[in-house]
Amino acid sequence: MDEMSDPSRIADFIAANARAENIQVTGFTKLSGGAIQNNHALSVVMDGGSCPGAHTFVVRSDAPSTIAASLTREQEFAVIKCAYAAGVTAPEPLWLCTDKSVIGQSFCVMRKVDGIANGRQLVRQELPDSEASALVRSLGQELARLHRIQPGSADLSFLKLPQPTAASARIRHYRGALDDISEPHPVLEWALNWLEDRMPSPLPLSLCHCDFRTGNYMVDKGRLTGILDWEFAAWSDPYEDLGWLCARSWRFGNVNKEVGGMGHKRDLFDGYANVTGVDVEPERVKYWEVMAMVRWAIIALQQAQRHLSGEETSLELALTGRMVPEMEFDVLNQCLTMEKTNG
Amino acid sequence: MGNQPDGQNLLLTARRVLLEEILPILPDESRYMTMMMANAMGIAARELDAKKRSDLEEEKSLGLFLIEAGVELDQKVDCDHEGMLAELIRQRSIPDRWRQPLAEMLLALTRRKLQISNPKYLSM
Repeated sequence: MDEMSDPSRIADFIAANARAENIQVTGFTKLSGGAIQNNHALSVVMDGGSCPGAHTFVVRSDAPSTIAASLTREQEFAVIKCAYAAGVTAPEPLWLCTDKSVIGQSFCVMRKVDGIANGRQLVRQELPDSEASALVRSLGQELARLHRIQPGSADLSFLKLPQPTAASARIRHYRGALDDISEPHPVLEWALNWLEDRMPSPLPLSLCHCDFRTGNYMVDKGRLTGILDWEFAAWSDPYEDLGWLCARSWRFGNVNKEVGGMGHKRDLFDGYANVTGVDVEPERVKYWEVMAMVRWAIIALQQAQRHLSGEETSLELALTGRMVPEMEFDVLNQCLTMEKTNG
Repeated sequence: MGNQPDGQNLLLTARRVLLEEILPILPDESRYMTMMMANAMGIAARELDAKKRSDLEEEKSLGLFLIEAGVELDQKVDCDHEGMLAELIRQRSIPDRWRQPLAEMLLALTRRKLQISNPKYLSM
């Protein structure tokens, strides 16, 4: 992205919005992660205006390859603003630029938060038990605060309401996605039937992050500092977020810590119930864990397709496709265990 | 019958050179990509090995399952039994009394795939 090699136009945009008399760029680096978005850290010093002094911002813009299901920068910015206003620890959303003449595409500016997000690094850190418990409890609280946002309470009309229920809409969507992939996947077909036959009674729809997992939140000195990557946010069953966070596929090898390889469900559920006042139903979470693993398998198949079609030749995408049997194995084991337990 | 050493042997030999001789002299930032290359070569080698031994057997066991479950099969050897199975599951055409054997068969199928793509995962 050539436009991003020179941050002066972004700096000018920031200065205009902050009504600064002067702005000086002191650092500009590309941040890792984000196959769908480009993230850059921009450090500036401003004179006058609404926020004088030194600041580091994150500038988020579209990467060359986008996924149809993801939100535009404008939509994502609206979602983050809504979550931030509801008390969710998202990076503070500051300014949105939809004028493509500035850097060639829309971008948004957020305050940079400290910490690391890399899932493998976080899981390897092995926090002391008390810190891990507190961190996982805070993840529960964050999700519960987010899930308080409901379709009637927020102006996010660009987000579609799943019909007739979140679970059935997901199942229908995943069957459609499998139809677009030439290689057959009997295990995923079986799992979709399993999910269809066991759909729990639907809950009121909530704003869901839909990619809330280890790797997408920042932790600094054992504490949660920011929830990132909101481009898949949607109205859904609130348990979808709990299931995605707990799915075995997202534990980065630390399988005994069911909450993203970081800690235990009892702490997550405690934190969640602490905000909502309602106990979490563990079996519902497990149902949505199965849904999560099916979804991840389908995303992995789609990533492999991007490689196979020549759209983006990549060893990483190719190998992601070969991870699908891992998710299929986990799905089968979890479904069969749940059948044995529940009869 | 091709020339020797065969494809599997070549891949494994190249993989060993990559890991033992090239990786130690590469900068840290190349480590992830190199490990991915070694992983891809390992998968490809195991797949070649499995193809030599069991492709037909696998199709036969899947085919037998379908016949026993009362499905009329196209008798062509290259018939895509896995595709047929996926379709039958989608259509919910496999009788309910075959529920248990079907689950076991899918587990066995998945284990065989993992033996190729990531055998360590089976013991995690």
